[in-house]
Amino acid sequence: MRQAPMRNLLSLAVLLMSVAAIAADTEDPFRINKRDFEKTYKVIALAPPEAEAYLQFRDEVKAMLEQEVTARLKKRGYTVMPSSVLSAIRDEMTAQVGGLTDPKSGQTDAAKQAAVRDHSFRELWFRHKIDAVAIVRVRIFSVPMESDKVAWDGVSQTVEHTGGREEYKANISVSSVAVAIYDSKDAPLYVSYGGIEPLLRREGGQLQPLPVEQLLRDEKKIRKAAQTAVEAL
Amino acid sequence: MRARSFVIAALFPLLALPARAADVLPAYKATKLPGAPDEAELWERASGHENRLRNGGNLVRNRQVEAYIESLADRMLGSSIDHLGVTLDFVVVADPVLSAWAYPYGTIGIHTGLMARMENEAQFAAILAHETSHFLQRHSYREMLQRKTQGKVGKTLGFLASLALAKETGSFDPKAMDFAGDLWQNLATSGYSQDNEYVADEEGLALMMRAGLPIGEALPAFKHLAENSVYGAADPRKMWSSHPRLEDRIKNIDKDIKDAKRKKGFVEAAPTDPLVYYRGIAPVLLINARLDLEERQFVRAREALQKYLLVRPEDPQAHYLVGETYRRENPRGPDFSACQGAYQKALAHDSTYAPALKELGMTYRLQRQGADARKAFEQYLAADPGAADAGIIRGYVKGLQ
Repeated sequence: MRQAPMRNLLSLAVLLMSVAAIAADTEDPFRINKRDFEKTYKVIALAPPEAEAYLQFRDEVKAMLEQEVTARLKKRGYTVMPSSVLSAIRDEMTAQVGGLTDPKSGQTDAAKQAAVRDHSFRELWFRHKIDAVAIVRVRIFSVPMESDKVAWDGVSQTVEHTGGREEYKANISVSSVAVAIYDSKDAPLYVSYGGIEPLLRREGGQLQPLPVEQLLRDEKKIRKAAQTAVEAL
Repeated sequence: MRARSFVIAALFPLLALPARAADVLPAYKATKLPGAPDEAELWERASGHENRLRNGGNLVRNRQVEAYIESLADRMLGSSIDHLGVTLDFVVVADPVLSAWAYPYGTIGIHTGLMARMENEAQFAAILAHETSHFLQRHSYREMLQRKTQGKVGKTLGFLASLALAKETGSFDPKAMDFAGDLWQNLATSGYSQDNEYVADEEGLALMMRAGLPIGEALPAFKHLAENSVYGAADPRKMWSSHPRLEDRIKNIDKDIKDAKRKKGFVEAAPTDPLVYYRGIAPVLLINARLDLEERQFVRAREALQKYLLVRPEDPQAHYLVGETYRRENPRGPDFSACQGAYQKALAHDSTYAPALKELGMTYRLQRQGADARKAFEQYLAADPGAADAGIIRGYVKGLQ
């Protein structure tokens, strides 16, 4: 049975992002009228960028994503609160709960992790006068591929392959940058995506996962994906 | 031109299959199921999915709920399928999307979301009867024959599985690439032909009548299935409502009901007491309210909790969850009276109910009512000293002094 611990903003973001990505091509990123968004939401706090556990998410990549999102928001006239503000609250709360690692098992204590995440978002709103929170996350989706070509979330790429070119259709896992902005009620205001790269390669008639250490290495692709995800702002 | 004629000629017998299906594949009259090696293979594929579902952690394992569903099915079927050597089984999945499906060997999958939205036993029975009819009429097997090869079924399922994988797991597992091939409920809710659906509608009503249930309730039951859009426009699991044929299906059920009522000797069964249903599925109402809360479906969550509280009015958890629907609807206030009222009701039934104490403290803190917040937090820490967030709450208390 799926027990339901207190869901926080991030969990909600993850859910909404995964649902929306499938139909991302046809959806307006704005969940409210764009003009209303521009009029109402002036100060936007960034949450520290996150990624699926499968991916190796290096600090350089986090910084790139934050830079791109911040640059776009500032260019559009918004005041941006950097993710370091929320990080500081999280650090403080992590210390208050005695760290997130269970001393007995050495594993992350999921209950403490969820508690810190939930309270830190609530505390961010309590302490600061902000209008919205932006969540940036690298997500993995399954999208259709045809004869080594795949197009998703504003990008079109050729899948790495060996062996002769073949006419075929399949589904392939890809990564995308998802940017979601939420209001004080945790209701989504803006959700958009930018495609980064496929996570598989074709070897003859088989699809094989690319080594994880090869993923999220192409700065140009990462920055472009982030730009795509925020370009509608 | 000749080639096209040939294709049409070759397809024609297949297109004609559904109308003759009852003659080709007797269900009730069968002496044993599965009836053929390829049907057995189909069962095996489907059971693979069911096993994964059962091991997936989203199951509602509650004997009271299972017993209630079994007794309802028993009322509809009696001993009519004893000779087949199979027994109906039910698997309840914690998922707010309104969905139900039949495995080809008689296990019926039901989402908590569907159970929670039904208003009485007859409505739930209508869906249960419909899915049971898919099994009794061996519709999965018939669909497979219609599609000519099992491989094609697998391909369809594989596509749906890939879609669902991204949605369900939220993470990438290379091994899961092999999982594609048998996401059964997607076939069951989207893949049956219109003819097979109509057969299941008609037979479902017959099963309801056998159990003495008012068949008129089948109509609102199926209309509820159109309510899935709130769970995401592109959700591949919302097949019931996204299916273009749902409107036609509702019209067809309406017609079937009218036809049945016109038959000589028809006597409309008495309405069922909603409380009997709410009592039977009470744990499901609570579980699904939590799921709807996560999905920000606050009104739906409250409606389910109100049903639950009609039969279990003293459960502090339900009152607390009502409070949560109000708080999450408007987390920064400024009016917290509705959520605080619900938390207080929870505490009236159990003064040490920790989640209500904490949230009461949190709302007082937001309102800058330091003394009240501190008192609630201290009670929370006393009630649950080992809470994961105890350290954070102590930090709040310190700040309030």
